[in-house]
Amino acid sequence: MNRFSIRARSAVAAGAVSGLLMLGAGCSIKDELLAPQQPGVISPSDVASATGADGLWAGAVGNFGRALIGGSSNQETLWPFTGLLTDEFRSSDTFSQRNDADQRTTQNSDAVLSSLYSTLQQVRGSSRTALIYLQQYKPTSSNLQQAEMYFTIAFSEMQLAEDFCNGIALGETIDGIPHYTAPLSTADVFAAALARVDSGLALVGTATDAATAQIRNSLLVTKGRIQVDLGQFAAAAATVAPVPVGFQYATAFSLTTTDNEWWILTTSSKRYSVGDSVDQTGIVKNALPFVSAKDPRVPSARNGNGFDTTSPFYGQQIWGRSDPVAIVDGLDAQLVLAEAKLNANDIAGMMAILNALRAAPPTQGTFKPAGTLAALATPASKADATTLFFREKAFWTFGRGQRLGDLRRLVRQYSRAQADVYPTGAFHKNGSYGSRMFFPVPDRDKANPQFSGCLDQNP
Amino acid sequence: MSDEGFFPRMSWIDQLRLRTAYGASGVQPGPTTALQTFSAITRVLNATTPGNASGADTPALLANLLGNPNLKPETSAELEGGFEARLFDNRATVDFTYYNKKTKDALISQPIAGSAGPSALTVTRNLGSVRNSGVETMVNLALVDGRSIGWDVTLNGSHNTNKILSLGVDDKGNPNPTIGTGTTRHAVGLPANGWFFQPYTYADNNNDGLIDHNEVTVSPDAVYMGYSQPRDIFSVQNGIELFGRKLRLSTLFDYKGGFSLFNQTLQFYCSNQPTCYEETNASAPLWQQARVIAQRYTTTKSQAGYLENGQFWRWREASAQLTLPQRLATRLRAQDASLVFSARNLHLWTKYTGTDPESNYSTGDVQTDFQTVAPSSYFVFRLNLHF
Repeated sequence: MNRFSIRARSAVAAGAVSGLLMLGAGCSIKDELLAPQQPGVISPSDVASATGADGLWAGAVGNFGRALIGGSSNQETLWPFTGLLTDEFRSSDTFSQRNDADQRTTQNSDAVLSSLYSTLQQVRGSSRTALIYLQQYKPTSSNLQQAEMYFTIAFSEMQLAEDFCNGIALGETIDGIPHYTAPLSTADVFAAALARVDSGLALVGTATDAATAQIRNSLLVTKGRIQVDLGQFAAAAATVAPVPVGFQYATAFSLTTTDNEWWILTTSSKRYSVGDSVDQTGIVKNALPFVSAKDPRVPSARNGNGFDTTSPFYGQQIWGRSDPVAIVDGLDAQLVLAEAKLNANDIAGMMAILNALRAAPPTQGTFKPAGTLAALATPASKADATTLFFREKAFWTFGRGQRLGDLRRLVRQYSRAQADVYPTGAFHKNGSYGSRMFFPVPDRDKANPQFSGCLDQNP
Repeated sequence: MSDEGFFPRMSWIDQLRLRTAYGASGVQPGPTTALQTFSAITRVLNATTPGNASGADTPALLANLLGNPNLKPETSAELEGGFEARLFDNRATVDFTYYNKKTKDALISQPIAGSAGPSALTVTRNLGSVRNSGVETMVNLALVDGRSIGWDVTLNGSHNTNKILSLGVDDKGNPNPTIGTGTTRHAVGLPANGWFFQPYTYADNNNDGLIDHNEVTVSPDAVYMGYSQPRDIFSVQNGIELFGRKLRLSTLFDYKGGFSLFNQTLQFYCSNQPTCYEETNASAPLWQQARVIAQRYTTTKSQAGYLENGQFWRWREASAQLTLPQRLATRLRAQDASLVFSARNLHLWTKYTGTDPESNYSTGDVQTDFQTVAPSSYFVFRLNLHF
């Protein structure tokens, strides 16, 4: 019942009694009677300890993975959703939000997108909270944990800037009070993320134990990717050069608490079909043949129709229900190195890296492509090499939240027209593809009085 | 009033009472809403080697409620006045009430922008001031009051106006004009939980009887589109007693109006299914063609077409109650006995195109018709025995 609009007649009688109380004893009694109660809850003082700091660190790490790829019960997560806007996935769902994302027509008020955006921003918040507690209650024994928090913050900010429009604010909530800031350009958000990485690297030091190496490499790969986003290709190559090919920082899953969302959406509930260069309408311009190429890096299989009962469904066969997924890995570092070669006009060098990967495919999570891939011929021009590089990267990083940022960079950094980059033409469900090149910062963020919408529609 | 000496004597007025009342009440905040809290959770990770693929369920903590130490009770004060009258030898009674209720420090769940990285996306604050005012009337008429037959009619009606007077101030001290960005919002000067959608226009410019995709224009900005709660509620009960008043036949008709209802069942269906009638049938009315295009084929999309007038009349009940002969009751060792037959939800008159204007999927404040069944029609036979 709506408290504001439905009038409860009984309130009059109850109110009369209350009114007498007010008249007879003053307002303080009323306030006292109606004051908020304080039952047993976990309060800030309960977590003000080293143990509490460890708990907050674990919560922040866990939520970081959940925001990107993990959850349960069809809880939307960012990486699958960005895959819809690109050619990686095709909606075989009834949810209009997923169909809109697939059609490149996501609305500013999209409820699913609002949740995704907030969830990733909340990773920043939970990591920051953990960082403060670690600094206060484990000041001399938590450098790696603190560095990991800088990593989760930096990666989240990088992901935000890769997927959302110019107009992302990076505010903070301190002691329960939100502190809003002005929206930033994506370049400024990348720069902020870069500063977080450097803070993390300063904490890591030079130790060579396995845990330290994990955090250091995670920060280096993230830094390299941010530098690529900023067009600093040579610097990016220098950053990631020490990262071994076999490195990976993964998010893990559990049958009891956290499903791999890929498995739910792309296998169990059949809402996301692997994308392809053809659909019911014919050839999809610019879409890669993730299905019909039968590439061992993106195995898939036809499994009837999707959740909407009408769309042909191709289920991915990379990840099972509890298979880990690499958030950053040595493969990412190799691709940064290859792109740096491309931008240095060293096509042969780029091909050497790409063909080395094809000859010995690295393991991602627990998935390793079956067999080896034949070596590719060296393209004749830089334009062809660019096309080839992004195709190779798309197959290597399928479903890991990188494709949208790459398509955007093809427009921003490689001067390609969006009509030559994004899926274009007739849409498989209805009408035509729209013109979204990235997601809008959702209207819900207008609760920040300094935010009124995307600053522009530039890639 | 009618007993006072100054009151003029009128034969048709048996009694007239004027009444007024003032009352105040409060709403206590939830037990934890004022508190900043953390929650115990389980997350999957490897506590030894960060990012190791072999994680395990691990106890963890997350900040939860933001808390608000300044939270106060929500208070309401109501003034009402009216009269009760008995007329025409007590054959008619009239009860009229006007009320004006003002709520201060309303407990409102204020959205927090995700960009602040908050642990919770809302916080309860004493933000609002809301006024509810309106009238309620009840009329009882004993149209026929004989020894063996009777006919009575009861009319019951109310009209409510709900208006948000203020919504507090934002962090910079500026008044909040609106809270919320979804399809229902609180906005100053408008009713609580008012509907907001992007309006659209359409025209069959080429007069081919079909609305094409380019013949619909959707506004980029959402505007207020009406109450989400019924403003007008009316009922008519009619009773006839026959055969020495041993048999009572009665009917009840209900009316609700002055509100809009989101037909999410059809909106959802037509946003996805190629068999949507409004899209596939060339003879569908233009307004139906337009609304499916507005939500599906335009660049800026709008579901406004599926917000419909929720007004309806429903034949709520018909019943017959037969008082059984005393000797039969005695044989059953009862003081008296009666047999009742009643039927509920017999017919609906409405222009609403959804399943039913009383279907409700939501458990929140706003009724939503989403793949939920209509109130069922049912029939009851009952034997009453009074021992």
